[in-house]
Amino acid sequence: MIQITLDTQEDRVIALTITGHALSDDLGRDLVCAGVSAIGTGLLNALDRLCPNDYELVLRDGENPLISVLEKNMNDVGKTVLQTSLIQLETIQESFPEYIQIVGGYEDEI
Amino acid sequence: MKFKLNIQLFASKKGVGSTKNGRDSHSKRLGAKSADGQLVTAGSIIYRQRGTKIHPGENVGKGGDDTLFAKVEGVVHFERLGRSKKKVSVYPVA
Repeated sequence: MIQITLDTQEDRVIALTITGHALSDDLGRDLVCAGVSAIGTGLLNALDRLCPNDYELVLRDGENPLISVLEKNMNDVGKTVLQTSLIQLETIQESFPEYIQIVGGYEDEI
Repeated sequence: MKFKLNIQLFASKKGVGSTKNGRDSHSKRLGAKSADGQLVTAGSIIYRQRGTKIHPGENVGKGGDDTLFAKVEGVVHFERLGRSKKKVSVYPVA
């Protein structure tokens, strides 16, 4: 199962990590993994391009994959990008709850 | 782009996935229904099988599904047939 962990403060995500394996199908056919991989990597590239100095960004491939975003400075653009990516991940999680778990988050919906 | 997309980043690299197996038929309860030396009546089923693991011998008939049955009342005997085959016969009790 893919685990997405959020840390939030007031109205923004200040930390997000994605770990684990979807295991929805064999390597090369795992569609849930493909969706999360694309959204996660796209999130990193968006933050890197739009607010390059305000987030610590980590992508680790291999047997223990990791995507990590950690806020260093408050940034409104980054806040919106993170909220958008979170909604995209929640969209996949809603359809494939057995393969994705989201821990933490806002008390109210975004 | 600084971060290159690996579309299977969160897939298991060990190829773990679904199996295409996991099906089997119900058991058909084949095998011997009468023992060697047992007294049986005519029509009694002696051996249920698919194909002829055991061939019909004297006073034993073979049904459409290869079931061996006694044609007469008597005692069941499992015997050899040639070198590597087996048969079953029913011998009437005098």
